[in-house]
Amino acid sequence: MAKKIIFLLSSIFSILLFSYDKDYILEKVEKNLSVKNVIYRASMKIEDDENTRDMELLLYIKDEKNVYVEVISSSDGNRSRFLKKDNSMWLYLTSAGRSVLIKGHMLKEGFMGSSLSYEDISENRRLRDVYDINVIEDEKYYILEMKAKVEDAPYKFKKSYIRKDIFLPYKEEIYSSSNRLLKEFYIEDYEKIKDIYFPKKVVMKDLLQKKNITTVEYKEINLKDKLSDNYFTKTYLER
Amino acid sequence: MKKLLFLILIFLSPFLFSFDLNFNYNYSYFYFYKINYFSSHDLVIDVENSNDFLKFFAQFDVRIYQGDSKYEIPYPDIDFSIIGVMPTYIYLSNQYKFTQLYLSLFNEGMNLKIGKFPVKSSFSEIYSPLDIFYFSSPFDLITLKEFPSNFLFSFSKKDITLSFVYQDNQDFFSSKEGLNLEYLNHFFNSRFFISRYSQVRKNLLSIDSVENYLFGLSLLTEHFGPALWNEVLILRSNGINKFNLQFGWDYTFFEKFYINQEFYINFRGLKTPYSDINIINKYLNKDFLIGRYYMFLTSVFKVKEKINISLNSILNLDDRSLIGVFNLSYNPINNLLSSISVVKTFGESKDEFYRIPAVFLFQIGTKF
Repeated sequence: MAKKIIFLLSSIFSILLFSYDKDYILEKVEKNLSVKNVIYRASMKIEDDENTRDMELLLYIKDEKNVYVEVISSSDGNRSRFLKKDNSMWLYLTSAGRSVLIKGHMLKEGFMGSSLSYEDISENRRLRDVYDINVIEDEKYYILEMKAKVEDAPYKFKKSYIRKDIFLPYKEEIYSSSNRLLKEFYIEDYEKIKDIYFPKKVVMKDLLQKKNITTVEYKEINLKDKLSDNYFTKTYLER
Repeated sequence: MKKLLFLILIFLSPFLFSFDLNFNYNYSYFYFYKINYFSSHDLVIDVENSNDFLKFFAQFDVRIYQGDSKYEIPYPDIDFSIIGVMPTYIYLSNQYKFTQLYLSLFNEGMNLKIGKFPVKSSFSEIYSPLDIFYFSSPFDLITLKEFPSNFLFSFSKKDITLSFVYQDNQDFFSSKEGLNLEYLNHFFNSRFFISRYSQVRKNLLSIDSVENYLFGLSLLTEHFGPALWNEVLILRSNGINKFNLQFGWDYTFFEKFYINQEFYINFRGLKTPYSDINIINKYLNKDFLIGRYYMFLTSVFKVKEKINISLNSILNLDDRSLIGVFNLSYNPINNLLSSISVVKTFGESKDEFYRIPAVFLFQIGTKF
């Protein structure tokens, strides 16, 4: 009888312990991936079969609902500005003098022809708000299996291999609803600022195309106490 | 106002020490079916300098024409040149001009913009009477687009944006003022628009000045999947209220085929059949549309990564005449874009879009 009780208790404890671990892991990962009030200056390199394009980006991220992205220069002369407000994303067309709504179905398209989508660039929600997550552990990584639980999740299913030392993904695999591997995402370098591990160099590979690799290097990471609301307005976008 | 702007720009130029420069070169070959052809070289230079508070932008366009510059637009039974309301020929002279030139100051949610720049108030891709500050026909492939001088003050507080535009066309009868209030929330984007503008209306015997007041309300939502929008507009002109209604939707199917369809109703539009005088007045006053019921269509088909086909069209639902522009674009290598466009009308002799010669345009260009 005593053995049975011990076994039962140990099972309960192990379940409790595991669920605590899972939340702890996700908390840590989200702390690194959903950073608020930050300004990035980044360079983006887009490589495909024939061409290589470079651009400089400026990103203002206040929270999951307020994101501003500006392409300040690019090798093909294209410059643009984007504002994410709530679930809507607006693109400012300088030549037309107006901003247009990037509709939900277009958010999955490549940002400026890269393998990163508009959603990838602007997504800043907590993983647990978007996905049902199952955590598996192997020797090297915590493996997060994430199934979309909201309609507007960027992906239906993805797998993230989290480094145990810094709680940042080493790699992410993005699958279609039919379980086909679509994209691979790597964090190749990172930087620690105020107890947060920021990705410093990321690479996205679109596996549906022969060669389509996008590399983003965050050159400046400026963590602020508070970002002004003024950046996340139509006036700033259309200035 | 232009002199003042020029002085401000001259004064500020020394401080704007690091510029972003972009060059865009296009070679265009125009062919009017069985009539004539000419070509042009366009060099567009963009100069920009900006930070969080100040932006200077200039766009200079140099267009050099080559070849025959005459093009006669035949209209059944009417010789426009005799009544002097429409040129028989389009005279193409080389052009060198600033198509955009403005200074923009931003601080604490407020933006002040002065100079030549585009202002668009409507959601429509093709045409809306709300676009009083600048309108360019998507079927005009020839004219060099030059934006008018505006003064714009805009202020945003979180989800609400208020903007005021003043346009002085150096003509007492054509100044324009507009106030736009925009609100964004989770479900929709709404805009309330009010404006006053004067207009010179012409007919064969006289010229008259008309005072117009415009009230518009627009709503846009993507809450239901495809984006849906509508615009309700009342134009009060010489004491007469004219109602306009526009509604549309758009969607991208399979990430390959984009379609944007709009319906436009002008309840005070002319009834068919249109008379010759109706058509003459349309050209005299540069009215874009004169009928009552229209369908606009914008569609883009991504054939391959670097090949796109697009079609823009207006169908007059009263007389079933149509104008369309078809475009095939191919981007063979980075920074090189080529395209072929055709503008064609389908209509009978007294229709709004009566038969005119098809215009073909081949373009090849680069930017860096």
